[in-house]
Amino acid sequence: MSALLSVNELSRSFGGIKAVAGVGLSVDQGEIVGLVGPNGAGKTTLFNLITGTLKPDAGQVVFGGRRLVAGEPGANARLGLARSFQQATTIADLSVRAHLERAAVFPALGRPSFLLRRSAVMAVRERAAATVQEILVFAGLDRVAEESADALPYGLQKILGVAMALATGPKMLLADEPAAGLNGAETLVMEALLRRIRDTRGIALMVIEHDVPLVMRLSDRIVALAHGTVIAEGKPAEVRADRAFIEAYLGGEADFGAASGPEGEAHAA
Amino acid sequence: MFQQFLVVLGLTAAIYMLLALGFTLIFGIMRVVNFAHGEFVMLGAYAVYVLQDVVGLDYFVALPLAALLVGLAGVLAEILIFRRFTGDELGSMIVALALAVSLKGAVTVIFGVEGPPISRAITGAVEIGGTLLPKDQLFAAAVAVLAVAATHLLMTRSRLGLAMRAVAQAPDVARLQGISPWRTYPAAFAIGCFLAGLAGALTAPLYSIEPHMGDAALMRAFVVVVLGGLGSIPGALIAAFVLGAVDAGMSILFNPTIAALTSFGIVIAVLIARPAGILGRA
Amino acid sequence: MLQVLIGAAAAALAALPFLASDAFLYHVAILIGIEALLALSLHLTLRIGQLSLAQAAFMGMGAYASALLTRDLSLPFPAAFLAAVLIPAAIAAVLGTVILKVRGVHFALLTFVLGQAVVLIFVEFVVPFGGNNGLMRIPGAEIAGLPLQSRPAFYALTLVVLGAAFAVVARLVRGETGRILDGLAANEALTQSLGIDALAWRRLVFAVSGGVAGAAGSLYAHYLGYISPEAFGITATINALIMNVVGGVALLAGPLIGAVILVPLPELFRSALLYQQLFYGLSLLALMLFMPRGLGGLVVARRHAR
Ligand SMILES: Nc1ncnc2c1ncn2[C@@H]1O[C@H](COP(=O)(O)OP(=O)(O)OP(=O)(O)O)[C@@H](O)[C@H]1O
Ligand SMILES: [Mg+2]
Repeated sequence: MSALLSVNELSRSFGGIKAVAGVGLSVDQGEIVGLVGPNGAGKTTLFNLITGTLKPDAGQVVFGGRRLVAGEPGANARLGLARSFQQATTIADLSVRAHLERAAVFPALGRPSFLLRRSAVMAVRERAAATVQEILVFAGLDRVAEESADALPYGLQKILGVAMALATGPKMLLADEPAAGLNGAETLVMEALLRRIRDTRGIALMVIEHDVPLVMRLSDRIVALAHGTVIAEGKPAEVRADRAFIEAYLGGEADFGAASGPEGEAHAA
Repeated sequence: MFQQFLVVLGLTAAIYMLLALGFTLIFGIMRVVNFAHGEFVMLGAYAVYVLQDVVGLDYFVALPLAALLVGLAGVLAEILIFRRFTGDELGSMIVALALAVSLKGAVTVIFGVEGPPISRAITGAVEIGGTLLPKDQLFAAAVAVLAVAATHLLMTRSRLGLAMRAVAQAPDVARLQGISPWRTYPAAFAIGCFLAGLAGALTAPLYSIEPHMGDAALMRAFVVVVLGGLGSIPGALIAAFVLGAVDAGMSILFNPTIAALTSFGIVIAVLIARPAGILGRA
Repeated sequence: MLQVLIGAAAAALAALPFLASDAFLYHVAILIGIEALLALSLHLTLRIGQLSLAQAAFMGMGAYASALLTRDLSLPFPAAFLAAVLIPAAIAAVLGTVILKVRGVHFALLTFVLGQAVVLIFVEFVVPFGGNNGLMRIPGAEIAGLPLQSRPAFYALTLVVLGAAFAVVARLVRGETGRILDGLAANEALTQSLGIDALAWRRLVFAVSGGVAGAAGSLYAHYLGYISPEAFGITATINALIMNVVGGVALLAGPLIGAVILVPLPELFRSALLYQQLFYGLSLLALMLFMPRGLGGLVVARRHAR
């Protein structure tokens, strides 16, 4: 079986900094791949390159057998490549349900040409309410459905971010530090949600996470990044034992048991 | 022909530099696009007219005085208006436009639509390298170059200049080090508007003055600053020469409208390809 | 409630000149309609978080297109009007693909220069644009042999165009499409990640704004019978901006409210013409300084500009 997502020699620099330098990796259908690496390793930049938010200097991304167009995050999302963001973000002062409704309907509206094919859009719109309800329950947001997303606790906002990505009906979900800024209990909820997304829906996941124990538990495979290049790759146990990984990421002194990443507290603010 | 081109280029570039410098300074330090910059140039021209032709001062006294008055007006504008829109790009653009329209309107009401005739203090011409140069243009260019050099020294050598650049680069860090943006912002406006006023006062005797003269001045400043990168002083200096060359060349070969269109074309291309300008930070 | 109020006000406005049957009143009402169209086109660009200072230039394109097509090519007015809407809209769509990627102050600067460049093109190319003198003897509006030269008839035409423009814009900024535009304005990265093509939507809005401005230009040309380049310079765009701020940037009715308040003043007091710019400028300054709360829309735009 060919990979769902394959990334080839992807590179991008900012000024003099090579944020991502010749990265290649692949993710299979229904697989969970953990992406780890120290701050500034280029993890978020890699996500931005895959989704098309940023244009690469070189390299390409193939998703579901199609070459993705750089600079077209909307089109790529409509192909089934969803993402959640490192920092919880909301659209505006809208309810949780309203956020999910938009997430469920927007992929059908993508471009102004939708104004010309109303019947297809009508079908999506009719399904949207049921989709939203189902996802509210699935993500455990049903009790706060009518509350303002801006007023939610940070943990629930991060869950809403994942739930919105889910509501677009993706084949694959890129989650950028889903547990950053969450407390221990919230982290467990997030972990369970991510696992259920794969187990019950067969959606492939790529998860950036500084919480090493969490990402080791969750992932089928780990890719370790440092200075924009892949320094280690393999089963969690293999990577954990990899010298390059230990040196680059942990600097030899880090604590594997830390509940959240180095940036955790900053994001919680 | 070529010599004439070089001379026109030198004189034009000097004035363009002066026009652009205040504009780019204010943007660099405060992130304010001062759409009223042209009106401060216009105020400088009217101030020198009032001081010279109404009050009866000598031109060489009226010139610095006019620039100072405009600098003062700039401080007032910062304190009364722009300060409230710090960090709000759209809002500060709109108030700047409002200020521009108001100043133009006020001058029209006071002095009329036509603009008064201004007497020329410097007359005659000198011959340099076979080309006859009007003395007034030479004087304006020389003062412009001096003012640009002085501003450069001020920005790079003085405490105030360093403080302003610190605020420009990282307002929060600067505040921690005890540099208050509330002192540096008026200073930036004072210098920026002083330079605009000086440009107006210098060029007033060269061209006629009228309420809408600021539009052309603003366009020139714009073009130079966009080419050089918003907020970049060295960029503005180089861009002034590039633009001066385009302007002088196209004016000699075709006509001033074609010259303006060409420089607009260059600016549009640069803005699209590199919004930060040729030399600006990306 | 507010909508009912605005509806009632609009209806009263529409009926007023018919009741009063005063030629001067018609004149002012027609000017209000034309200015409101230009202000509406600017309103659209503000809705996508972009301050376009080239709107009067789009109006100019419509005016020149309509004038040249009827006068020199003898096209009927409705066809010329259609062209006056479509040409600036198409130009905006093509330009938009490139310039809408530029954001914030740089977009304002870019459109400022573009607008000035368009005016210079009208000045420079005497054939066909007539240079600084502009175009004279533009035929009056006429639909299917029915002349609309009389002020009441032209007023009716203006009302129809204004109503149609508001209907199109309302369709765009409300409902489903409105949610998309609001989403893009509030959080572009997130909205794009949900499958929305930001550029395509912005381009559509920008094209419609060009078309609305073009409609204003066509009406302007056929109402006055002559046009010249300076009418389409930055001052006209700024006046449209002032109308938006006065009327409320967040409100769809803002441009109309602003035009109703600001256009009659200089027309009513001829001597006040001298004071018009000062008055406009000071009202905008005062509003920005002392009534920022009233400018709900700016708050949205502001957050975005940061
Ligand atoms: N838009 C940008 N402009 C300039 N530099 C950037 C930009 N985005 C990222 N960088 C730089 O690229 C490098 C990689 O950043 P990136 O955000 O991808 O790291 P990361 O691995 O996600 O780090 P973290 O764990 O802190 O989220 C950093 O040096 C960063 O400063
Ligand atoms: Mg990151």
